[in-house]
Amino acid sequence: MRLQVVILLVLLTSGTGAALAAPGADEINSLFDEACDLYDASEFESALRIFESLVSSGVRHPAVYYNLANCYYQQGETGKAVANYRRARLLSPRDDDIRANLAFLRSSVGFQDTTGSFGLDGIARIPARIASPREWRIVFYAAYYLGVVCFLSVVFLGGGARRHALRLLAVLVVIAVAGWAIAEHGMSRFTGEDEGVVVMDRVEFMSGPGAAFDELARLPDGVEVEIRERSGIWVEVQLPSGEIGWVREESLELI
Amino acid sequence: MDRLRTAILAFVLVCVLFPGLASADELRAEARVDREVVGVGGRLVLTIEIFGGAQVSEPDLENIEGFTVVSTSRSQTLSIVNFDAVRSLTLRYVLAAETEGEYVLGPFTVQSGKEVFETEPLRVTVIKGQAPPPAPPRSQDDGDEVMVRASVDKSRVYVGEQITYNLQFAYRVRPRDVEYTPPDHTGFWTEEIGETGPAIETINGKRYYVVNRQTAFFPISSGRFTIGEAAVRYVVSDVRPFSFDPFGMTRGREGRAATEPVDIVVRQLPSEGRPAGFAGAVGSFSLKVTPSANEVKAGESLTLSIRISGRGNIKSIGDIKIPDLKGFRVFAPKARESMDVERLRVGGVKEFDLVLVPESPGDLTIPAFEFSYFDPGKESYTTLVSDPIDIEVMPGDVASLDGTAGPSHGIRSARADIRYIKRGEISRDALTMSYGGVVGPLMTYVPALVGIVGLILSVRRRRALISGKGAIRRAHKDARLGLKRARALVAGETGVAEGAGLAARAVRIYLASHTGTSETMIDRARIESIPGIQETTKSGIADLLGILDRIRFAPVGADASQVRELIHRAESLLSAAHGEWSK
Repeated sequence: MRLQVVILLVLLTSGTGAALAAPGADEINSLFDEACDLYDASEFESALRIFESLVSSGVRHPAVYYNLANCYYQQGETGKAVANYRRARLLSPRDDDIRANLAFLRSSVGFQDTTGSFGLDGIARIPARIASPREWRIVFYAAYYLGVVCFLSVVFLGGGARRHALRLLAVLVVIAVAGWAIAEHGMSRFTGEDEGVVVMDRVEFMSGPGAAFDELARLPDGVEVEIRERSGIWVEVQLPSGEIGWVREESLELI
Repeated sequence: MDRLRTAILAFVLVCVLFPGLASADELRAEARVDREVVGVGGRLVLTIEIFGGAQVSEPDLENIEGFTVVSTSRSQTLSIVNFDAVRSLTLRYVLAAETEGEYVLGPFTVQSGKEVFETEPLRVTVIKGQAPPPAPPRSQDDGDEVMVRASVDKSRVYVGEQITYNLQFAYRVRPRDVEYTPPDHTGFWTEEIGETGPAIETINGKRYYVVNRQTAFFPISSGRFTIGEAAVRYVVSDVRPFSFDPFGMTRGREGRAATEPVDIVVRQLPSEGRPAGFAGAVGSFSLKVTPSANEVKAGESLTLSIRISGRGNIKSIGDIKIPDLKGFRVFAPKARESMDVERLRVGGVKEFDLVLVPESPGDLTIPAFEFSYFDPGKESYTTLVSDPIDIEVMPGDVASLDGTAGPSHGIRSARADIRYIKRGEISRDALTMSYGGVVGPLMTYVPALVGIVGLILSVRRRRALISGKGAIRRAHKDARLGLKRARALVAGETGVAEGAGLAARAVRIYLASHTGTSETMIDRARIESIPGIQETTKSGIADLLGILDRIRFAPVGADASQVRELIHRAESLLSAAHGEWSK
């Protein structure tokens, strides 16, 4: 009886319970196809609502974010389009279409994404441009499984084979740790609060956290920013060009 | 609730007892008489009402020509309007007419601090005999306690020209539950401008609180139109003598007030002088065209901002006409607009962002943009023309942004601006590797468990090898392996010294593993002290090691066959020793 309770708890905590409440794969794909059809029929508002509902129900797929971004673009909401292209790119960094559309919007906004292109920050983001967090997690698991095999070889074998297995084990440990760390960093970027996009037009860019401070500039819809600090309803941000200032929280959408 | 009542009562008391606190209102005064014609010896009542101010000095009525002051009374009232305390002082003078003639009463001067206000002068005629009776005074609750009036700034306009419609909502008793029904505006495009007030105004000799609400009407087509009646339903408190009800908490009386409809004549825009590019904009505008950069690489984009701003219905401005932009790939413009109000005139900004991609290097020119509008003030058309803009295009990666590299698998390209859209099968989660049920934990923890079990087994095996029969077997196996390698070394008639050294080392390692010492410590004395082996075996091993050491360090005279014989002997002695130990 106690064993059955333990098994039930394990099943519930390992995702089975959540999966029962969420829409199934068939339903997700049916909704996705329906939204794509609406988009083709130029019913962008309706398509947008379905893509948004997929996202809010927990679907995290690059095609959903990409199509959602296209809907926002068609609705003239550049900032929200940029935010969703960014999410799509985090999930699928080598996708040419996502990169092309994001570059197109950035050029129309007039701000290039130079944030993190240089220095340590730029180096830290190279892995995210090579592979998605999921792919880095696969790297982690591959290194992990091979590492276990190497470990067993080290434990049970002797002589030269043992030495080779030991060297390989060291390399695999490094790969596994790096893969895990990069995957976690990618996931934290996806769910974190460090990056945002301006989703309103002519947003006041102030020198301090309040309307009484000097207005440094007006930011157009779609400017990507890095979030540095918060103070009430004001958020300190850094622009791609490096300038630092404050904007109202409501004018931003987190990536 | 009690606390709220106490706070309100305290506020009212403070305002009454300390009038200076409620002195934020502007000082105003109003004088009136109850009749304008009076007979000699007759009487009239002069009332002077003073609003706002603090420590108000009363006007001087000692010497009024043709009249004497019979009696004076004063009363002070406090009312709450929109949670603002408004104080008023009413002075009543009964004047007796003395001599026949035309008289001017006032102007009367009131002063509060540095503020001075003069009332309008009043004309009174004193006649011989008895004056006609004055018109009966209208009671306070005769239905005019709430009024609405509508007015427009112009009733004859052009199509698209703004009409400012003002709805005046005036009340003497603050109404509750006001329900406003806007006028029917068929044939017009409307924009709310705003609301001002309440302000105190005198209408028909009575003091009202007045709220003005302005709306901009833009006629859509020509003809005769009517802005329908606007109505207000409200509830007012019953006004009773000596009642104190500043918050209107007593039972109320429902009422309705409505405006008169307003007729508007809308004229067609003149056809004479209408520019070819005119698209219906009416007002007064300016045009500004600005590129995001004057230098750009071929294949990279630049954004052209076309900004139209001014007074007029911004929403009626259609798409901008784009001239022939040779050498550029042109993407559909993105428009955005914002409206504002300046001195009751609606206006704003409409901005078009046009993304251009120069196709090849060289000097290109963006030709002039034109925008035409009808100015109703001048009753003529105006065409604004921007300056041409030179763009220097440098060599670059032409295919960087154009999206012409061809859509990837599963993508259909419908337009040239963005690539879209993606179809196909999608999964629920492309971010993590979450698996339902027990698969995920199994994938993560089972390999680690296998490693731990392997480690435990390995440790147990190692312990077994280090001590007991396992250790003996392993040491014997290693020694035999060492002797086998030594034999291989001397197989080719060379490596005599090396083979002897290797054989000696294999024997010493075997003995060291039994005695728990280092191989370098194995000498004759140590060998003879080893327990569990027969004396003949011990001396045989000691003699053998002596010979092997000698050949190792002085190989002159020794040959390979001799070493092979010694290795064979070593194998025999080790087997004997192993057998004896194993027992």
